Amino acid sequence: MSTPEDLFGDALRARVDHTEQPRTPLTEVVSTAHRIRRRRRIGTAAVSAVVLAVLATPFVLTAGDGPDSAPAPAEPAPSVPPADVRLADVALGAPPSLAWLDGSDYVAADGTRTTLPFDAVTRATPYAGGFLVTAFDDNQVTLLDSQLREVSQRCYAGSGFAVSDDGLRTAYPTSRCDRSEPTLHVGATSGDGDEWTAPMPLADAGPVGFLGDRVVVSSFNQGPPAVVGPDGSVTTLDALGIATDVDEPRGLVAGRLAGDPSSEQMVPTGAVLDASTGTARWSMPGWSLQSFSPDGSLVLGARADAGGTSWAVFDSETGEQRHEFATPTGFGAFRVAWEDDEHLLMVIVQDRTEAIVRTTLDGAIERASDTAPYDEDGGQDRRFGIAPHDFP
Amino acid sequence: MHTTQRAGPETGGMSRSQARDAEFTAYLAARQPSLLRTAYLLTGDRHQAEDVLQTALAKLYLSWDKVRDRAAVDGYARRILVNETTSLWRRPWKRREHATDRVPEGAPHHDAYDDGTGDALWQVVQTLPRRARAVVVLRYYEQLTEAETAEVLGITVGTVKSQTSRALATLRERTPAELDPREEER
Repeated sequence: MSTPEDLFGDALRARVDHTEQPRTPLTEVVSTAHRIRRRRRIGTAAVSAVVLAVLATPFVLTAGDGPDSAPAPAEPAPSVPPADVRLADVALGAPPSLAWLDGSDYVAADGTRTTLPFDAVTRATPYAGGFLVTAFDDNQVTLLDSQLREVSQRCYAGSGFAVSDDGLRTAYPTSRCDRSEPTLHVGATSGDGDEWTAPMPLADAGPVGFLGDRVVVSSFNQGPPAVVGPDGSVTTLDALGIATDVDEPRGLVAGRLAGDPSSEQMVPTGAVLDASTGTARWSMPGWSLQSFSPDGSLVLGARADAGGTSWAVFDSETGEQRHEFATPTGFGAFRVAWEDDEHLLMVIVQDRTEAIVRTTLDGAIERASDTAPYDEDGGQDRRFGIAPHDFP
Repeated sequence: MHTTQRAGPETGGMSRSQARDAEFTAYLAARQPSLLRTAYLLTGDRHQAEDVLQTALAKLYLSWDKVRDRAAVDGYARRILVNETTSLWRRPWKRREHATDRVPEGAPHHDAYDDGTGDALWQVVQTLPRRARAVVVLRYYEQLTEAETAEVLGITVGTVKSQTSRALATLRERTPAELDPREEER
């Protein structure tokens, strides 16, 4: 009698074992290897679906001084990012003052640690008194209760959790395991209150932020983003191709302007949209807009190029550029979040080392975590994250 | 494949890089077909499997000199392969291809008992979450132990067990009752 395990094995072998496959010659493998090696040397890191451009004011490193000791104003400098800055040599400052992920530990803003029962947590956020969690290499979102026992586990095809400005509500996506029927869920972060659900109009979509009792959802594969209400109402934001963040009080949505970038240049145009009118308030070619500052007055933009990543901070309502700095050559930024209105936290990978780095808006840095090894080829998951967001 | 001799000037007069390339070429000849079959089972798509395998082999080539234990090369190669498959899914700017049931060229072999059972099971495999699918492929196609599977995927044995259990539960839920061996006991 065949066991289910036998049946699995037989089905898989029947699918592939009797077929002839073309073989890749060594020359093609070596050619691909050379391309990978060149890419690693350049140290490009994408923080969103962005490529490329120009360099800006160089990075100001104040080893031994925290960002709270006002750094000297950056002087006009050559348009080359600092080189030979080793992550381990950057001074260690205070830990993050917002929630972050240290491996499988969820570290709350007050420093309280909760070890989640998963290997390689990629996202985690408090929900209904427990946690919502996703793990590396697994397209399921798990709800844990206050005792960290599994309440439910559901497939999802999108990404991201979104938390309302007041912290009271959290949104997350699910779908069927074949990625059909994408569904938005909104419930109480603390556990008081019911959860409402609504179909999402986009495949592979996730929540980006709240607009009152409605949620902005966006997908990297399909657009435009949309605003979904608890009654299932859907309003598309046609001026945008992707939405990345929402400033709830001002009703602004940051993202990328609709229309594919040129396939040759791959240069996006960041834009801030007024959700009440559906029109772009302003746009900025070449920049990918990431997120609003906690008070909503600023929005962070990024450009990736061969030397590293350039960052700029714009007035969220006018688009006026307020700050600009570059990360050192070889620093790959895998996640960035506002710690407060004057500091950013970034998950940085350099060669085979990662750490969380804190930077001022003028580019003065310190580490906010110890360094940890990271081996892309060995498949080691990145250790650090900034909750509730995900690794890109 | 198992070799214990590292490339070096003492290897038949070849340069170190020539010896390394010769050794890697021999590894390709011996293991590439099997790795491609595994890549296909992980991705469900012939072309994606070829892309993923090419990148995985290139990364293995870059790391070849660092792999001291040649007996561990297969495990290392599988790990890179699984990670490349995951990277395929995590690239937001590439339009994701839904897994298809297109088979590699050449008709799949059907045993006499296969009255569509194989296709039904393959459909189940394709809808599994990525990690569960990788566990199923490594455990039941590659025939790795739970510990070996855990090592390749960088997860605990406990997670391998739980993923296997869920996959089998999904199999029972979604396949005809005739496939459930418990039915045969009635």
